[in-house]
Amino acid sequence: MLEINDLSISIGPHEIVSIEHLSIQAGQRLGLVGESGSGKTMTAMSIIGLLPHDAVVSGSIKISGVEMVNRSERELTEIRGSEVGVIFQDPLRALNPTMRVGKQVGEALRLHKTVPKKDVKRRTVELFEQVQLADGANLIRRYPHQLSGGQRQRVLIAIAIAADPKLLIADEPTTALDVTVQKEILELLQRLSAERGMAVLFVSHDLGVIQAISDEIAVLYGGKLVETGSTELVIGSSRHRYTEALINVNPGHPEDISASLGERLVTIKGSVPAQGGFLSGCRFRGRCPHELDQCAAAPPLTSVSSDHSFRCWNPTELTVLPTSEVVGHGGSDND
Amino acid sequence: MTDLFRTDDLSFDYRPRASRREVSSDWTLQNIAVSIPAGSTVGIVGESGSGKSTLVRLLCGLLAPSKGDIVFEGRSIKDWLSNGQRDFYRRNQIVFQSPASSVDPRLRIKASLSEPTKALERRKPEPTELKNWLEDVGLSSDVLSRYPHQLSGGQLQRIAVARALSVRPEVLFADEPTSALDVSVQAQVLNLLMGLKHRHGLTLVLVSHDLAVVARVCDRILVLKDGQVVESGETAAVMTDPQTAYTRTLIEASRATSLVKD
Repeated sequence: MLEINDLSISIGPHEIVSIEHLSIQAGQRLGLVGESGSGKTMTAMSIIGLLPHDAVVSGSIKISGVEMVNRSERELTEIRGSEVGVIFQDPLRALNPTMRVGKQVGEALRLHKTVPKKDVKRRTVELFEQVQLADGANLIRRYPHQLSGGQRQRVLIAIAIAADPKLLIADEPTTALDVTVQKEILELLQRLSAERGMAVLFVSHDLGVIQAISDEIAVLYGGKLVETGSTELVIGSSRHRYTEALINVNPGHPEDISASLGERLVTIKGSVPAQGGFLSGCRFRGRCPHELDQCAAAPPLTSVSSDHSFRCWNPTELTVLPTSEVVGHGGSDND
Repeated sequence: MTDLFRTDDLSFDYRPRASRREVSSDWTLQNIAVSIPAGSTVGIVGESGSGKSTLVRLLCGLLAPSKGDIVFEGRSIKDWLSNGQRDFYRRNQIVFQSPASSVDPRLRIKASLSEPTKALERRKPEPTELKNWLEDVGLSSDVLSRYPHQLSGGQLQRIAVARALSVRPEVLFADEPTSALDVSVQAQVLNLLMGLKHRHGLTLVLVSHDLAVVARVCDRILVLKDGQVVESGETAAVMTDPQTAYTRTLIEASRATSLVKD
């Protein structure tokens, strides 16, 4: 469905993103994870050509075989919305505050699907049902400020899926939401992707959220993919030290941790460097507690299996535990 | 431990003249009775709209109760605010959710950081004080001449904490201090708050919608739903043996996005 090859995005003298290969199959959910500044939003937005004007893109991004790089604005407008749907982080800012939400969904239907005017209302209510917005006939008359955060995000999802896109890009869609609402939205996206055979690119800084929704995970740092593979393998037997660090900063299950009350949480040393501030070789150098001399050179790609690869000179040892136990249950802390 | 704060049948509503009306289920807060022991770390958990931020604003004197009372060190908050307001504000400081909007974008960090001292102590802070406050939160004095947009979210939240602590409060309220931050930065800010609490003997009140966060930091938990306290108690007890279905829902939701470490 989506295939990225040798993608490079530069702004001025700095190469922000450099991805050799990344692909998503139809109906599959890929989680792209990394801290702020690791290039994940840039990568996601490059797919639909929504990048700053001074960004230079090279390489290839194909959606169902159609090349997206260096398209004209007009061709891109066609593809956005119809082939690819997008959900942004802040639902309040993504919706027009002066327009009833039903009309905003209708707009997407009329633009991309050319639904006849008389059917728009009926289709809008249907879409509201699909995103589990109860009482759709009433809700379409509301303005964004009259809805809760979760409802707004559902409206955005309705707009994004209005034209039956083959790919849905979700950029931190749950970061602004309560954990309870977040859980519902994640379940909704999972269901929609399964029912419609829609590929989903889910972007988040939180590996916990990514793990809850993705079949595959790609860990991005300094604009480079450091580890990719199935969710089970990336979480259960992570190899790259950055993936390990992201797993460790997660606060863990609430019931399991009351024993470690008041203990310091595990952190990642330092912070993500600014544009162009990354060291050569392994990008995680300088923050990694397991750094070796050879990390100054670019780490080679190591394939653990056809479904799991990473780039690290000093990876974590393979865990002997069966992965299902590590992902699903268990309970001990590692610090 | 003695109770630093105690609320007595506290109710609040944002609509005008609420104090003349009867408390009903559509009030923002209804008949809240909580106590905060000195030196404790209390977590207030609930969804958006549950009233957790309103409760914190009432406790630190930014809103006035519609019904009932808040008692701080044996004196009613009304009494504090009419007679000893400056002292009350000095002793109760707050850190807000969004670090970017809690500092004036047109002021250099130095000016923002000096404000509480100017307002509450009527003096300008010494350069060594400024340096010490920043060191306390793990920043160097280089940031003093910067503007907010030149700093990261985590750095700004540290500034907000340093600013709150600059007047040596007894209670630090933190209203969702990490929800606008990356998980990796969240851990740093939580560690910072816990460290400062021990170093300065603070009472810490932490508001969050995420139980996983609160469970790691707080020794007592208060669960709010639709303006009422549905559950409260020691963290370990609430987490392992929740008494209400709602608390279990919150634990489940938080569990769904938590990772178990091997």
